[in-house]
Amino acid sequence: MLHLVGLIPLLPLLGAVVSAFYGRRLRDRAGTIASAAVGLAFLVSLLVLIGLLARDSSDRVFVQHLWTWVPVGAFNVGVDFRVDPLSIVMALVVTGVGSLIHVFSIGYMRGDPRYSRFFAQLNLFVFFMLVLVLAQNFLLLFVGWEGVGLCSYLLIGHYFERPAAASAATKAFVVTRVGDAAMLVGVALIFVHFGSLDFGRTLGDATQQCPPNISCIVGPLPSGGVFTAIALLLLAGAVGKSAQLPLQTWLPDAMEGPTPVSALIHAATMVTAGVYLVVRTHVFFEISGVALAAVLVIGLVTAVYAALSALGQDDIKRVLAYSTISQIGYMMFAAGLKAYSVAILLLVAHAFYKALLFLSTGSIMHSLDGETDLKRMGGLRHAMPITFATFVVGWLAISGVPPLSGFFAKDEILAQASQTGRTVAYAVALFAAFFSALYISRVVFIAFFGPPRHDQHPHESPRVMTTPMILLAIGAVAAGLLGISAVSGVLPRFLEPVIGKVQEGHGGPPTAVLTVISVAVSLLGIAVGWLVYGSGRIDWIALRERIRPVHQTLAHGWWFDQVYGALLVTPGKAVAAFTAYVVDRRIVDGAGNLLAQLFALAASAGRRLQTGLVRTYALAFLVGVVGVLCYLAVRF
Amino acid sequence: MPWVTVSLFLPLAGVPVLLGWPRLSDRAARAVTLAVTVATFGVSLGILASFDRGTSGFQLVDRADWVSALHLQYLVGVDGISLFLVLITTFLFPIAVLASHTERHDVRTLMASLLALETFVLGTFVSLDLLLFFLFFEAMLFPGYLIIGGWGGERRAYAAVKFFLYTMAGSAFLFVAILFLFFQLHSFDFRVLAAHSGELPVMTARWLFLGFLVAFAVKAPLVPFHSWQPDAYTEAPTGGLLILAGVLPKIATYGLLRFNLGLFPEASRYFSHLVAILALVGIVYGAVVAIVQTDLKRLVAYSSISHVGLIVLGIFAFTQPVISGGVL
Repeated sequence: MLHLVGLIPLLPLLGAVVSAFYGRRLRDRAGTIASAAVGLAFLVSLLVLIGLLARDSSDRVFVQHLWTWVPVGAFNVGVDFRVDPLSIVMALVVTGVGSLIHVFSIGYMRGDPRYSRFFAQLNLFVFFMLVLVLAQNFLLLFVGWEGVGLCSYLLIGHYFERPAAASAATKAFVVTRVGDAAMLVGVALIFVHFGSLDFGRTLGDATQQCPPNISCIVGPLPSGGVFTAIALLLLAGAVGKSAQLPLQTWLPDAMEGPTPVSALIHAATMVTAGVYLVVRTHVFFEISGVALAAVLVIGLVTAVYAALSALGQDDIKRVLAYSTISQIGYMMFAAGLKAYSVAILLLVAHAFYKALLFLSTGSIMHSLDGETDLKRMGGLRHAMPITFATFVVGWLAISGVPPLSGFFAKDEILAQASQTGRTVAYAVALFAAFFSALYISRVVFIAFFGPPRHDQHPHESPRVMTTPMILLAIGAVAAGLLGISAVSGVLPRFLEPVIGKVQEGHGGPPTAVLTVISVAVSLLGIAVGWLVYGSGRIDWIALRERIRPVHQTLAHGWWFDQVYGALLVTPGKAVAAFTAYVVDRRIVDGAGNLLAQLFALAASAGRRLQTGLVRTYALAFLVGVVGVLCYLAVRF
Repeated sequence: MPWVTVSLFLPLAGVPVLLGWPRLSDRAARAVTLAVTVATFGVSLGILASFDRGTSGFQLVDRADWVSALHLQYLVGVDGISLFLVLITTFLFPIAVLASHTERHDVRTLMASLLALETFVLGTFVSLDLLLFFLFFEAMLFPGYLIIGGWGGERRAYAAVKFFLYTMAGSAFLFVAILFLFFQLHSFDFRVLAAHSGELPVMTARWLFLGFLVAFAVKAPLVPFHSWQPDAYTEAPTGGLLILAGVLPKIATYGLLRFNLGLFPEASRYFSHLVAILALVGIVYGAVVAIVQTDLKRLVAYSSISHVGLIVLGIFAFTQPVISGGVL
């Protein structure tokens, strides 16, 4: 069964090829074919999972070597896929949620002129994402990493006639590139110091007897400083791809893409690649305490930053974008606390409920003719009951209301923070949790309650769209069952051989108290949301006019875009223009042309000798003869 | 079967047909050229098949005396590096012929120029005699000039002349260096020269290295000798551009690899930092200037400068994996 792993990425690749080359003939059927490709990949992933479960829990690493890609002397890289608990969980999430989003897109993208191209690119994305999570070496992972970046660019720019969409796509690519460049240097460093890019030889799980542990690495260990450098460089890549501070500016703009794209790429999968990378290479981070601390701080600060910014957005998709940034911040925070399985639990839960929220948003947009401004929604719960119901599930999940999945994950992260003695971090995370509940409650109350602030006639979406939403909602509820306990839950125990056990701390208040506090905070957030946005008693639009500077800062993501524009973009363009127009055109080119002109000048001066008058030539002849005679006379 | 010679002169054989046949229609001209280039590709596959991957050194060597008074002989052969480049070239030319299907005027001469260009380009890759290499290297300029000048864009006259004069100026140094080598070591045969190059005085070798370097630096192009390239790329017709961009830089980097590294190893190490810096500057410079370009062909030109810089950097880093990467 395990040998089928190569099939998992192959199926979406085939789907992409078929949709790309036969799209025009297939038309509407492209969507079905693409969904089937990913759906089949999901089924194969399940089979591989079964194969993995059949093995003893200490023996759950399987590497499938397909062929040797780069056999150049010492640099030997193969196309190797890895099946272990972590990679199969990621693959299941990607294919499972991915197939549901594909099905949803069949309805959502109906009538789009580039329908088959959309599905080709979406399938291609799933292919690259699977390569990323199933890779057994850093080079193959990087191929997947870059590939998803490319597909993200293509899909954000799907409506490329809109300049905003085109520039958003470029921005996404360039900003993540900054992280990717650093990551590439990190990968090069790994090769230089380990002599290999293979996970087995670099991450230290060469044999079954040796759990991921640096002492299992074959050969001499590099010094500690090297690990810090490698870890920080890889972290830079993760920060870019997962839209964490300071490379988060691309994600809100990426909402220009079609909503299924936002759901799949910018919520459930690509943006979680950074978390996957950190968890996969956690060995490096643990050896270098500095890097792990960086992960924690970046995650926590991002979580707060984004939660507050989400509150200031009027565009429902931008709220969800900032929400994603914030939630991934939580995952990074968990990783920084060494609670890797909880980070993955949150990743899985988030994939369900964030995709759900995006698809529900897509459903709203579909019936309101593409409207995304919250101020122009209202009262939708009557017109779109199914969408309302699924959105409520997502709302409660993200707010951390038990017994939905979001609650378990968030609660365990907070508990871990408190119990390892990090009281300040705990308080900050709790603060962010309050605002998480608040910003999403705001969306629910403005969009679905109150009087309609539009003059359209919304209707519920067709079954091809609502069915995936319902299935995702079930997932959002049920995923919690996988991780009821951070130590003994189904998922943490499954992942343990790969990413270790969550070390239970013993400081601070007991777990029960912490749970009560976190639930209380969630409910408080919802209550405040109801009071301000749902009850109708407060004119929130007027209220925020009164605190205009604060609101503007939140709405503009704390001015990161503007700062980057002034510090980097404008000077960068000026330098490029200067180099091109002054240096290249005037100086370098000019030098060549100057040389040509000098020759032309010399030639035109020399040409004056050709007067065409015989008397001039006779004179020249005479002068020449006299000169030669003088010379001969002097010499002899 | 003298595969190499056949693949070398097969395209040239098509030229008299194209130019001499009375009343040849455009479609027939294109068909003939396509057939010839595809056949050449087929013959190069024959070279591939006859190639023994186990042995090092040159294989399928063909030799003939040409002008013995000048010690000029016809000496061609392939090894691992040149074989690969020959295959790429013969593969690209049919595509270039197909890409030229939009040209409407004087199709015959364009096709003939492309075929002549193919022969000369292949000649640079398979020549083992330095003078022969130089002949082919320079001969490429003529069809190149014709193609850019005859079927190019608005500023094609300027671009074609610039291309011709600039690259010829660089090659002048190459010619002097080749002659100097001959007078020192009494042979134009690359294998002989490579075996005896250690006998040259160190300073001599370094100057010769520079002579070869200038010519290839202009051809590659390496900054700051690149000015001919953006204009040439912009004004060239599509089929010609394919060869210009796809093959000419490879000739330059092949020259660096084969001659600069092969004949002057000590000088290569001595100058490696200089060349690496030039290459690095080219990578960044090319990329930065490409950012502000609005003309797509010009953008591709500067991007090409950037990438060739990367290849040259690889060649002069001197480690085996890097050189293999450079060839790729």
